[in-house]
Amino acid sequence: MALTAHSGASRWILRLVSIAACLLVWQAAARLRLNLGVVTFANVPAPTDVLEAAIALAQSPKLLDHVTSSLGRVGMGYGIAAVVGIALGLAVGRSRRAEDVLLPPLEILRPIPAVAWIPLAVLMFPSSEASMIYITFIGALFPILLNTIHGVENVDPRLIASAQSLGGTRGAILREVILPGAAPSIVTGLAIGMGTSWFCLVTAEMISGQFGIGYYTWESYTLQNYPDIVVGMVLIGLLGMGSSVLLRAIGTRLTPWHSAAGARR
Amino acid sequence: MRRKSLFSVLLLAASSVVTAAQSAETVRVAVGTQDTTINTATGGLIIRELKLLEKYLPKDGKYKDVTYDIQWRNFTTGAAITNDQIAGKVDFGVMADFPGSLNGVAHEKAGRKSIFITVLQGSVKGSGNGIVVPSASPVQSLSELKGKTISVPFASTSHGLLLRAVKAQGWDPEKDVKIIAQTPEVAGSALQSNQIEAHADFVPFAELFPWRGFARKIYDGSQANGPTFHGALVDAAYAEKYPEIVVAYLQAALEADRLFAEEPEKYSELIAKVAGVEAEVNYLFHGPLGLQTRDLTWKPEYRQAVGTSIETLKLLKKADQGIDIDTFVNERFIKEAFKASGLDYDARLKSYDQLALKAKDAATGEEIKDPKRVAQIWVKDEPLVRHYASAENALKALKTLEAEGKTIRVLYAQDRNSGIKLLGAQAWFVRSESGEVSAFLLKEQAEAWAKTNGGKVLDYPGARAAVLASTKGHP
Amino acid sequence: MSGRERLARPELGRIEAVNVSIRLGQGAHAFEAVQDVSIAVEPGELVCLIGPSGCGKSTLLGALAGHIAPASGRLLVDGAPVKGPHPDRGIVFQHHTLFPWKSARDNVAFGPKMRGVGKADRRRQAGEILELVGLGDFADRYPKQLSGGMQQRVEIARVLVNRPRLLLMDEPFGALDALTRMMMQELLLDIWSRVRTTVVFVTHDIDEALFLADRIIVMTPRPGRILEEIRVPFERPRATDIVAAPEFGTLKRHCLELLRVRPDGAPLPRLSPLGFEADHAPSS
Repeated sequence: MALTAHSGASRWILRLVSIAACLLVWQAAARLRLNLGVVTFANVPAPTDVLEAAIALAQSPKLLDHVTSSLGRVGMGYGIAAVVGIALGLAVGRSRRAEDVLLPPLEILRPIPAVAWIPLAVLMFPSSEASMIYITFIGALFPILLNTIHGVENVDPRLIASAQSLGGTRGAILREVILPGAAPSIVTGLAIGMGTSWFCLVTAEMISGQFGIGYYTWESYTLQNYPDIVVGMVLIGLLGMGSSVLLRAIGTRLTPWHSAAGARR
Repeated sequence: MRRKSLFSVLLLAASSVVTAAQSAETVRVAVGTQDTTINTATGGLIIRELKLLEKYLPKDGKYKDVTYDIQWRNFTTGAAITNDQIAGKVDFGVMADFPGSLNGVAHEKAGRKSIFITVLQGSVKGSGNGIVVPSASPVQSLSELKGKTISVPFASTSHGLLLRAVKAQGWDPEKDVKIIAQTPEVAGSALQSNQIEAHADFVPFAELFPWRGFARKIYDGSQANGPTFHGALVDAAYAEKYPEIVVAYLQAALEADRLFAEEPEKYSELIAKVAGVEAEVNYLFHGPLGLQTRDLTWKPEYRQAVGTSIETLKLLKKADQGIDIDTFVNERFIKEAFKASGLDYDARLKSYDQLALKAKDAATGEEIKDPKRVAQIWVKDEPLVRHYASAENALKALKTLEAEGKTIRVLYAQDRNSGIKLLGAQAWFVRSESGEVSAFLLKEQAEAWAKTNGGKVLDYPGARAAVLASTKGHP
Repeated sequence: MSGRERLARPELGRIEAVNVSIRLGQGAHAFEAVQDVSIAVEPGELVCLIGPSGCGKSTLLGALAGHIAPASGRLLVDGAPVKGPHPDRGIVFQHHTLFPWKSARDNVAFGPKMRGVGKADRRRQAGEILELVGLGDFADRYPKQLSGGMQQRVEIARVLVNRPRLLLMDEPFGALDALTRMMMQELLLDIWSRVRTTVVFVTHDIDEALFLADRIIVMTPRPGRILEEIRVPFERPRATDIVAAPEFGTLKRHCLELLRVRPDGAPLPRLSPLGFEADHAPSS
């Protein structure tokens, strides 16, 4: 027991030391304007500059507006993607006809990158908020959809057979067997989708700008404010990772039968 | 003896080979252009397409054995060019006053320096920037936009114009109007789908969007009376090391300017082919009596524009330091280029004329005298634009042209008040009792004219119909 | 046990298979798993199907459950043709198919839930059946918290709560260790004495078949046909020491003879009651 506790703490120490070391190298490289030929740090802002910019942003009255705008757009887009993705995923996973009807157009749309959607998004939707929500939606949709399909298709057919033999109707089986059976995959899809939704945020917020972390990052680029660009990137990364981790934690809570069985972190 | 002389000959040969090897260097001349921002054409697109750099780059003196590595990179914004300059990938860059001053500040922050070496094209009154609304919008002037949302490319010269215009209305830019950022590409789509109420933009979008039929221009930059221009910058260290190359670039720009002045239609078509901006819009800017004037001199108004831009950016808290205008704006190289090309810098500096139109009326044959009354028609499949002394002459000519089975590409008319060139199809007209037709950008301007001078306010179809009716019975 | 609990419906659960043939697979890979099989099972009988691997016994079971449709012939239960799965014909698999997200009680309550029984009632019914199989104290455990034998008991309870006419069992104790298997066999006989239902039990294990069955039906290798039907004469209740009886040995030898297939080729992979090969343990 004592051994495990010790190795837990020392693992954390190792992780922190690693991050600190990376920061030190970055600071040195930026300050020295290191030029390694293949890559150059001559114009890269140092961690200290980024920290300064981060503090300035933290003190800015606009930060709250930026964060809430972005959270709103990601939240809406993601929320709709979750509903649509799971619903379509259940249909496609269960019905061959649904698969033949729904999957081909979706597969064609899948590889289109968020940036390419901008002009159409602007033309199709009545408001720029809707256009932005569409882009975060399309970013989240496919991981959720595909993981749901995968989860549904991988539900043990014997479980379904047993449920049928116990008198289960098609609807009851969907609710009582398919959904819980696919739940672990769906949770994975939801966690990934949350991440991709955030990735698309910068692209989305190019559509119309006043508030939003993506917009803040974009504005910093226009103004050649490099430390601010890094702050924006880091902020998006943190929020994306954070919400993804949160989702996974919630998902694990809701699927207790799955995580413990053969779990190896 | 012989061996010694043979040895010294060999030594001499060897050393000259070494010296030759030393002087055979490659010099990069990398230019960042903005092809779609058509008023930078003389500093970018034209030079590139006509290979004018190759013509002017020095090949003597210390450049005798130099190999030039000429690189052209195209961008859609000045900020992107600045980024590449800071990263050392581009030497010359073209952009407007606002991004230009940000360029200066960015170089200083990186421990370097850039210099603004010339103006390329601009307007001392402010034309070139404009505000448009979607075609379906009922809005006819800026005053109707109070409380509405206006988008503008962030930190651009049109952003400056918008703030100036808002201030001139007596509004508070934070409260009375909502200004949001939107790039021209996105704004185009947004105007088409009626997603925004108004959009301010720089060359050529405030005219291009109306030309393409989904927007209407309701404000010309000249109404705010503040200069705007696009010009060229270069890294100062590069200029110190290769001043002759900088002069050569500027001479290429001067030649591009001359060629354009001589054959505006031809080069408008060239820009259309390469950049995708229609020739009719290019001619609007570059043709005689055009919306902006090509000008390679540092007029005090343009210097002032650079200064104003940095102050505005500081006020918006988008820039945290200023630059020394006197060292940033550099006249040395452009003056040398003028001299080398046999032109008079001081004379051009003093001249505020638009590109003159020396022509005869295509219908009546009379000399065209009053630039504020000029109208022009570009007939399809004709290489040259037809000029008319007055709008009514042009409208009458329309009838004849159509009877001949010809279609027109565009009709231009000069604004009676400001003298700016307008796209006829979107202009407002006043037709007096005597049949005299005057053109105006805004309906309210036409109404004001009609009030003082009499006459009927008409839109383009109305003006055509009226002129048509009056010529009935005349062959 | 009260008379009500001897919920014997001895008149229900008659099986009639008439010239049943079952084909599996698609296109070029199609094959006949069961060929022209005719069986009759009396209500309340416990019949064991034995045969070599891949002979179609599990396939036949699946057809009785309603998961596989015969290609030809008639399959009747109490005179009505089998048309799809139904709680009257409950099936128990070799590896349990309990819902991992439900407790043992909720798993067992599933059948009643599907019939519209109210929550309190069905939980009570489930509790009773679980008591019957000896898991009264474990009703609120989750499947992963139960041992293999317990899981199979819940599996059986889940089917029995629906008072099925047929209890179809596909080598239900095959994955358990020998000791647990014996215990489960006894338990099965005990439950069956109380909840009288027709049982069709598929197995490899001749000892098991002789211990449990009223009648053993031996099938041929693929395509499966009925080789022989053997009446098991031992009295009920059966004691474990029948293994020692000389008749046991004779019958066992006889069965071994019947099952000694001429070895032409490798043993075929096991078929499952759902129609595909290699029935496997769930992977998550």
